[in-house]
Amino acid sequence: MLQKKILVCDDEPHIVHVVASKLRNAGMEVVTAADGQEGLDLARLHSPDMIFTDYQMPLLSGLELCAKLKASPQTNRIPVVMLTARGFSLTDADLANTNILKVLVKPFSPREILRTAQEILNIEPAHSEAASS
Amino acid sequence: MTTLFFPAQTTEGVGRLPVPELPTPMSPEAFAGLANAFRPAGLWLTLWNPNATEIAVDEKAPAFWRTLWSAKNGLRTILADHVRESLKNPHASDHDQAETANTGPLAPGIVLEVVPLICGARCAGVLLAAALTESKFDEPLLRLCDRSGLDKMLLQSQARDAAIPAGQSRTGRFLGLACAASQAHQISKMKLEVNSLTHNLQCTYEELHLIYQISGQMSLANKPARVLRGIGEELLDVCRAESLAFVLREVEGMRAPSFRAASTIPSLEDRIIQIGEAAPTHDQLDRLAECLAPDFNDSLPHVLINRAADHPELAWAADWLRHLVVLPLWRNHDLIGVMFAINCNDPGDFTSVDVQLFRAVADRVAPFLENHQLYDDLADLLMGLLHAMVNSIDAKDAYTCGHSERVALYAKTLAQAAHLPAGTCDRIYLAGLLHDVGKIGVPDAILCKTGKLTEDEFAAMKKHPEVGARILSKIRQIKDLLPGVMNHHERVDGRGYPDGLAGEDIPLFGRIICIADCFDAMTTNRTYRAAMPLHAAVAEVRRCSGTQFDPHLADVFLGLNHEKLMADGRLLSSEADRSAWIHDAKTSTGA
Repeated sequence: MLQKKILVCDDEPHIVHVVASKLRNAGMEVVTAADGQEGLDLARLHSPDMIFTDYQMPLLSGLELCAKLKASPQTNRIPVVMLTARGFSLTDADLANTNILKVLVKPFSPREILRTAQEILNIEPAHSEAASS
Repeated sequence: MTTLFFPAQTTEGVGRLPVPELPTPMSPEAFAGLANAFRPAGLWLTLWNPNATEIAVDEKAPAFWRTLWSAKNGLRTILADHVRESLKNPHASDHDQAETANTGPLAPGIVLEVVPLICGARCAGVLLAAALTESKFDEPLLRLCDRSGLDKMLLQSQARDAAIPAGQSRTGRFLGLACAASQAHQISKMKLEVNSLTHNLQCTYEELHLIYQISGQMSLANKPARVLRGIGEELLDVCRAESLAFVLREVEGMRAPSFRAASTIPSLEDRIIQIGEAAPTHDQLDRLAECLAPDFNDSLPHVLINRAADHPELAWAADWLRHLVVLPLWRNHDLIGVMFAINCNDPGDFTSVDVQLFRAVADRVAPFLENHQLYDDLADLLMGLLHAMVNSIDAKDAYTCGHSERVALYAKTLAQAAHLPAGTCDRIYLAGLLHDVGKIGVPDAILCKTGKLTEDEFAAMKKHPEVGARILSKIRQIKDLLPGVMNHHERVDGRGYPDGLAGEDIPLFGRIICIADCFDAMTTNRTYRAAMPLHAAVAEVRRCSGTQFDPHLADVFLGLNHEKLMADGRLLSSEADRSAWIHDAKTSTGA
């Protein structure tokens, strides 16, 4: 099976580490970005299979990033999961203008991150612990 | 290049920390970076463990090195010996020794430099650099060729490509290597630390998420068993236990009779909660709790058993028990229950990290149970006081003993049969209980009079709904019950009292309690007449449907099992007899 590529975009390094390491350990390729603009550049460069992004980021917010992705034919089909603070909600218009499939509230469960990625990418969760070879 | 020393962390559970099996001097990527950087300068790098086994070799090296390395009895053995030798005193092999260039067993021509990778006081490994300083070489290397069956001519030609360009400072080159190697080692070490921290952070996130989830479930409105089950299921999803269980202790002490099933002595299902398909049976859990629970005290915060077979007191459970974590649930200094995590579902044992997670949950469960207990106690106290109050009023008249209790039961039963929400039915029960509180204001001479009441006496009697509503009006929490007290003598034809309301203008509570009140009055002895037979009382409800009683509610009432209703009512009366002594005491002192 082709290795799935995921872009993780968050200005907080520990969030990036937690999400990226969870996904990498499950055998996925992970590209990381520290702000919305870098996220946009990397999404255009790598065409990832899906994106996890924070909402509040410097340069370009998560929502602006998603709108820009949706507006470009090259990236308008990439599914996005947004990580937000508690008590945040997206409007219907936000959802219509973006490819946000799901919103996970911080503090999220890393296992839920992996489950979500596997759901969106249609991957059977691996029962064995073999991702090393 | 081998990847053996950076095992992928694939642990799913929260509890396990990544522990590299061997100390790792450098990541494969870092070594490749160093090898690439120093190759143009003529250095050939190999990486070794502290026990002198090789970890990685620069595989892009000139053919000369690869030939020597792969030959039987070739460089591999010689270098391993050299590493072993130099490791005997790793700290001494410092830069100043590079000055005299560690010539080793291959001299002249080949120079070896050992760079120990020191981590604190420990040598994590060795980077061994080799360089060919002259393109011609003699005895030792020729002997090596003979021993390993190498083609001398070929090796000689390969040596010309591998030799260091003339004029470069050997010492400077090695100094640069030592510095770069040390940095690569530090970076590798830090990356490992970041991995470990990230893993810990993941565990913490998982734990935090769990705590958020379970705090949302801890509603005092839910039965503890249900809350514990929900919490257990969340925990089981993230922890490494095959099953979990809560065993609560029997609650001792006085409990007032109450309509809330949750506050009577817990049934087995309420007391022992198993989570997970592999959970032990009730009996097994009870026995486990008996075995272990009495040991807990301040100095024994939990029990962690990883080989149950080693514990003679658990021999009876040897068939199914391997690992066990037991956490006490305290209420002040009383043990109110224990939490079990049973059998680790990963290879390996429960660790302190697992225990920490279980403790995080147990520490939240205990106060919840305590609060729930306090909440139940308060509810019981309130109910006890209400029962005591109405019983003492009923006791003014021996004939009405237990009347309020029965009306409450009948009214609630009727409300349930009319499919009112459970919460409303409970409120109707309370309203039924309190409906005659106002009789405290009616003189005993009137209440207990055997003959017909005079007009004045009847007028005094008719004041009791208003008096009752006024007495209770100051209690904010029961404001919703007042219509039941105030209007239980209204009639749907408008001829009742005190307000003369008709039809649906009579509050629902009043209409329900009216039927319950009349039915009990008809089926019990009164000062002024004997009890009616049951069938006559039922017929009377039917006859008065639409005049005295709400016809819909009367229909529902006629559909009830009246024998059972009265039997239940009689049970209550026998309890109310306990308060009858008040009446006896009063009449005897009065006589």
